Amino acid sequence: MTKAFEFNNVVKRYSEFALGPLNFSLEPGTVLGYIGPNGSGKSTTLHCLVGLVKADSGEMQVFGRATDPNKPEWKLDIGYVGDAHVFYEGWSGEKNLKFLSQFYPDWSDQRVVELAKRFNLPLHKKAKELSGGNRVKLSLVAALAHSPKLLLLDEPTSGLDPVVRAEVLDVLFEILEDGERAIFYSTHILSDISRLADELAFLDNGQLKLRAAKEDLIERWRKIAFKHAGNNFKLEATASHKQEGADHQIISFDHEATLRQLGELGAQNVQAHLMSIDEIAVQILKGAGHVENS
Amino acid sequence: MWKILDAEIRYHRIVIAGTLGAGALFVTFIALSNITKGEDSTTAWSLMSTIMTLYIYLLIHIGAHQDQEKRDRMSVMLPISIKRLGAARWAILIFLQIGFAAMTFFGVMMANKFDLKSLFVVFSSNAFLFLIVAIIAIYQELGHFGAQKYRRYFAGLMFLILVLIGVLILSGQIITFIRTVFEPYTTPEGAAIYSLLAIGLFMLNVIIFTRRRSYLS
Repeated sequence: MTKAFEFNNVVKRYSEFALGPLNFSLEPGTVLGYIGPNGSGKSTTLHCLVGLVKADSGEMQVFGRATDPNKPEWKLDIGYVGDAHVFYEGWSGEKNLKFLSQFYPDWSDQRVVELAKRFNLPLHKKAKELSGGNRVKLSLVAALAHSPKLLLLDEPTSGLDPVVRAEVLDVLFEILEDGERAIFYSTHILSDISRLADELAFLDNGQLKLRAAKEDLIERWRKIAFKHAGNNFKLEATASHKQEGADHQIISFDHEATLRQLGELGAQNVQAHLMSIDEIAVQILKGAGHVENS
Repeated sequence: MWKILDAEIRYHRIVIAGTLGAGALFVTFIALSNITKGEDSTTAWSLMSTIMTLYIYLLIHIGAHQDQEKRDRMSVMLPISIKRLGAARWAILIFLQIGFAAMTFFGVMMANKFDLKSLFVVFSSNAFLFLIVAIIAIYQELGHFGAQKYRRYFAGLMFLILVLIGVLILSGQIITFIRTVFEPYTTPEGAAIYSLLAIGLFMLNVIIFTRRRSYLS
């Protein structure tokens, strides 16, 4: 099956930062959360994919078409909401959307009207007069009006107050729940994406540390507490291990393997607790090397 | 390409109409006042200078507009080839230049009876202006505007130019220098050279735009 997008050995170097080499892809109809701290290279990844930044090496494809800047048909399949919301500032939202509509054969004015109504977006206002929240909403309307097969969202709620953020996310999630689009959602705020994502990819310092199904992560990761008098043992599949006397607390990225080993060691009062995606992400981004094996 | 050009013209329609209108009014006023009749070509040059000043004002307004880079950022994400986009960004300048070329032509015609020399002056002056604009645009396209290390180079270059002008003035050679630079204006060879240079720099600018490593504002 043709991938929604594909990165093959993509590298982008700056004087003090390098992204990649990135090798990953996204299946159509899948929602992939792209998680990483600020400065980890999330935006650069997206900038490379939409053509705002040129990669130094490697290849990218969108629905099987190379991201050649002189053969731009691949951009027809993309809806992008970036970290900056750029428009003709002196034009109304409506006029900006009219301008954009000329470039997309599948653009639907009816969809614009519906989305604007859902978002309660004042389309008659000039772009420069719109609040931060409304600029995000206008970007979303522009990105969704041509029903793209691939939606790229780069921290779209960044800088919004909590009320507007929740409002934007609610409407966005509702729209996207049809499951027909591939969505690549970059964020450092996990709560934004944990409801929606099928898979999560973790980026740190320009390197993809882990990619896994969200359910798989929730299923496998556990906080485990137990009692054991000894300290001369090494547990498998653990991201961290704290000990105070006979009390041990570990974080396991494969709790079945860990529990099996604890049983063999004769550990007592073993208690395993589910972890939230936020907690798991923190552990992954903390960078325990063996996490890659999970 | 035309969609971008159309949008740019519509977006700047007030300043374009205002500047073209002011230029046209100026030319009309001069024509009605008869002040250019019987004068030598100095009048024509003055007319052209005024019209060109208006043109430069317009270019500065459009080129230095706060959100120009942002508009580029928006355009780059559209399904349009980067070459066409690069050309579209210049097409607006060509469009404007045609209007101002027409004005300079009328300006020259009012001061002088029609002759080929006047026609060459119009060609040369417009090409020369376009050439200057292209050089500035290339400098901007390369990302040198605002970059700290290039500020020093730019300041150094400006200083050298001022020193050169000072030396020419003090040595009494400034008029000879200006004549040497602008003499080709009135010849077909000069007009051709200036035009070719302008076209070359225009193409270079499009190439540089397409090869930019980043279109982030």
